[in-house]
Amino acid sequence: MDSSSGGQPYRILLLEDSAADTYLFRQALKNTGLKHDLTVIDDGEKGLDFAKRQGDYAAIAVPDLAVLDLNLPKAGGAAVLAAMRQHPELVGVPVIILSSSDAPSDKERTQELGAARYITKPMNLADYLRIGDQVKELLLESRAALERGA
Amino acid sequence: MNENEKGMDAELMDFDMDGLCRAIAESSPMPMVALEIGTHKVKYANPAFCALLGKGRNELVGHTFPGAAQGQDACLALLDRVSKTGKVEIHTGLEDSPAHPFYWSYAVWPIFAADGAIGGVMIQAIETSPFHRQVTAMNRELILSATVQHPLMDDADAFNRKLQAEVAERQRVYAALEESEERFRLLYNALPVGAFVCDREGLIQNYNLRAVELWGREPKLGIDRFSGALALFLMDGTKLANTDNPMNKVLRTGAPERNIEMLKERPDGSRLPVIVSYVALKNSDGAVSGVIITFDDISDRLRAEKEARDIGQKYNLLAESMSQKIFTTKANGELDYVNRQWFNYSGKVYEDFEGWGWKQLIHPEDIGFTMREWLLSIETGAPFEVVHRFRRWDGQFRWHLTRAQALRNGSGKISMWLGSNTDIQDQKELEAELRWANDDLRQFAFAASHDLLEPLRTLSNYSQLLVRGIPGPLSSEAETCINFITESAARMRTLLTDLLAYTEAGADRGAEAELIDLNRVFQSVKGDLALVISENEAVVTSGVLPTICGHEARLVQLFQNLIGNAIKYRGERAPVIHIEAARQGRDWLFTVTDNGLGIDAQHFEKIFGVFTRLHGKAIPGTGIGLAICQRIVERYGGKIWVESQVGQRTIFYFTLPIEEESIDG
Repeated sequence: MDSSSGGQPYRILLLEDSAADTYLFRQALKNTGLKHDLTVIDDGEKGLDFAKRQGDYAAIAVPDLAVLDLNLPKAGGAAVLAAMRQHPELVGVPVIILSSSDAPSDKERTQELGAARYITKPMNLADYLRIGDQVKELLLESRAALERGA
Repeated sequence: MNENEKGMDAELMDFDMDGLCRAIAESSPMPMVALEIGTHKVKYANPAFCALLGKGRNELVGHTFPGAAQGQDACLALLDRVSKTGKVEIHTGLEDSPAHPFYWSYAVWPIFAADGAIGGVMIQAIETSPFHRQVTAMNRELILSATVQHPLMDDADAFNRKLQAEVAERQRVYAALEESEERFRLLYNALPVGAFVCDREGLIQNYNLRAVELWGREPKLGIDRFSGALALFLMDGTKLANTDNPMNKVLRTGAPERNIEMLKERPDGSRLPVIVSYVALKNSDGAVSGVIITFDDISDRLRAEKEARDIGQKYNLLAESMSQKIFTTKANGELDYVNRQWFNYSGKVYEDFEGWGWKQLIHPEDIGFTMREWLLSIETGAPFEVVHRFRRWDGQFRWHLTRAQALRNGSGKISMWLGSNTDIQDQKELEAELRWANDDLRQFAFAASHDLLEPLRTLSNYSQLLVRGIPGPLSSEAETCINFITESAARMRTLLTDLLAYTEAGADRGAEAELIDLNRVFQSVKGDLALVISENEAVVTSGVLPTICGHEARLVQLFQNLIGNAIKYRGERAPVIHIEAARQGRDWLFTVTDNGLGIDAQHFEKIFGVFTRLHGKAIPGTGIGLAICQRIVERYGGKIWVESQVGQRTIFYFTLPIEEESIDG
C-alpha cells in the first residue's frame, strides 16, 4: 500500500459502546485494505481520560484519526472532542463523528468543535461498510497536509 | 266680622288657642323658633327646628339665636326691624344651607304680649323648593292682613270712659285674635302635610289644603270623620278595628300617637299609604277637647323602600344561588358576609368567618402572602387577586382563586369590598396531568427518534450481513426469512419517523409564525415532487394563492402531503391536480382537486386518523400523511375535510384564517 509507506499502520481510535457497531466498523475498515491499528474505547469516561491524557488511558498513542460516537453513557463524543481540542497533543487529530442522531443541532455543535466529518449511522449495510472509504479519504488528506506542512 | 264669627272667636278663646298653636307648632314639619326682643334669646323652638340644626331643644332655648349669635347683619337687621315696626317680614331670598341643601324662606312675625307691646319675634322657615311661589303669595296676604288696623269704635260713649276703655280693650283683643287666627290659617294651609282638627266626637272641624289634596275631596265639617265614612286600613290591607283606632286612644288618654302607617281609602276607591300623627287638644283645665291630626303621603317612600328591598332580595338570591363562594367585607377588610356556599364547603357557621375569622381556614403556608396582599389592597384600593388554599369540611385543602374589588361611594371613598373564591383544585390537577402527559409525549418522541431506532438499525444491518453470507452461505429460505426481518425493521423505522413528524406537526416549538406566500410554497413543493410528477406525467396547477400567517415548514408539509397523495392514489388517467383558494368569511377556503381513484364516502372521516390506510402494499405508505395535514390545519384554527366520487375525483377542502392585514388591505 502506498499510503502505509514505511510499514507504519494508521492509528485509529474508535469511541463506541455498541459491540455490534464496532464489529461493522471493523468490517468497513477491513474493506479499505488500509493497514491500520484500531483502538476501541467503549465508555465515555474512559474517552475523557484519553482526551486529557490521564489515568489508564494516558499511555495510548496519539492516533492519526479519531471516530467518535455521540450517545454514550456518562460522557458523550462531543465532550471527548471538546477535551481533545483542549489538549496540545490531541488538538490536531482529525475527528469523524459517527452517530445515530441526525439532529441538525448535533451536527452544528460538533462542527463548531472542529469535527472534520459528521456521518449518520446508516440503516443499510452497504452504506455502513462504505464508511471505511470516508475514513481512508480523511487519513490520506491529513497525511498529505502534514507532508506539505513538513 | 258678623255675630256668628264673633261667637266662634269666643269659643276658640275658650278652646285654648295657645294649646292649639302649640300642638300645631309641635307637629309642624316646618322649623319654627320664637325669640325674645333685644336679646335674641330663643324662647321656643319646635322639633322641626331642632332637627334642622341637629340640636336638642335645651341646647337652644335660653341661648342666643344662632343666626344672631353669628352676627349675621342681614338677620339682625331683619329681627330688629320686625321688633320695631311690628310688621311681618318675609325673607324671600333663596337660602342654601350647607347641611341641608334645600331652599328655604323665612317669615318673621312679631309676638304681641297681653298689653299689646311686641314681646318677641317668631321665625318660621318654609322649604320653598316646591312651594316657593305659593308661600310667597300667601305671605304677601299675611302682610296685608297684619297691617290692616282694626277700625276703632268712633261712636264710643264719651261719657262712659270706663266702658269705652273696656270696648277698646275688647276690640284690641279681637284684633289680636283675628291676626292670630289669620296667621294660624296661613300656616295651616301652607303646611306640606295634611291636617285636620277634630272635636271630641272625632268630627272634623277644620282642615287644610293639603288634607283635601290627599283625601281627594273636601271633608264636610262637623259630619265627616278621618277614620269614619272613608275607611282606614292597616298596611296589610285589613280594616282598622274601631277599638284600635289611635283617635280613640288619644281622646281617651290624651297622650299623642305618632307616625302610624296606614292606608287611607279615597273617594275613588284607591288606597293611599299615609303616615299619621294624632295630638290631643286640651282645655285650660287639661281636659281633652279634640284631636289634631297630621298625615302625609308615603307612597314614594314605600316605593323606594320596596325597590331597595327587591334589589336587596335579588342580590341576596343571586349570591346564595351562585355556585361560587362570595364574600363582602367592610372598608377596613373585616368580613361581614359570606354566602351559603361557604358554609357548605367549610362546614362552619357565619360567626367562624366574621371579622378576621376566615384566616383560620387558609392553609398555614398561604396566610403570610394572603394577608400581605389583602392589607395592601385595603390600603391602596387596588383589586385583590391571590391563589391560595382553603380547608374544606373534611380537612382537605383545596386551591382557590380569590378576587376582590373595592366598591366606592359617590365621593370615591371605599365603602366595602366584594369578593369571590373560585375552587380551582380540579383545574390545577388537570393542568398538572396535562403537563405530565406533554412531558411523556416529548420523552416518547425523543425515544422514538433515537433509542428505538438504534436496535432497529442493528437488526437491519446484521440481517443484511447474514444475507451476504458472513460467516457462511445461507439457504434461500433463510435468506427469505431474513429479508422479512429487514423489511419489518425498515417499516418500523418509517412508522417511528412518521409518528415523530406527526407529534412535531402539532407541537409549538416556539417558532414565530410569519407571513408566508403560499404561491411560493406551492412552487417549492412542485419542485420537490418534480421527479414523481414527471414519472406520472401529472399536471399540477394552482390559482392565485394568498399570503397567510404560519410556519413555512408546516405549510410545505401540508401541500406536499396533499399533492403527493393526489399523485400516489392516481387512477388510469394521467393525474390532473389543481389548487384554488377563495375567501369565506374570516377564512381562506382551499380546495385540492384531483382525478384519481377517489375515496368511498364511508372512509371520509377515517382517513384522517393516525396510520389509517385504505390500500395494500401496492401503494406504499404508513397512513400518517392526512393525520399530519389535519394536525397542521387545526394548529392554525382551521378545518379539513374531503368530498369524493370513487373513480371520478377527490376534493380536499381546508380552511386557514385570513391574515388580518390582508383583510384591511
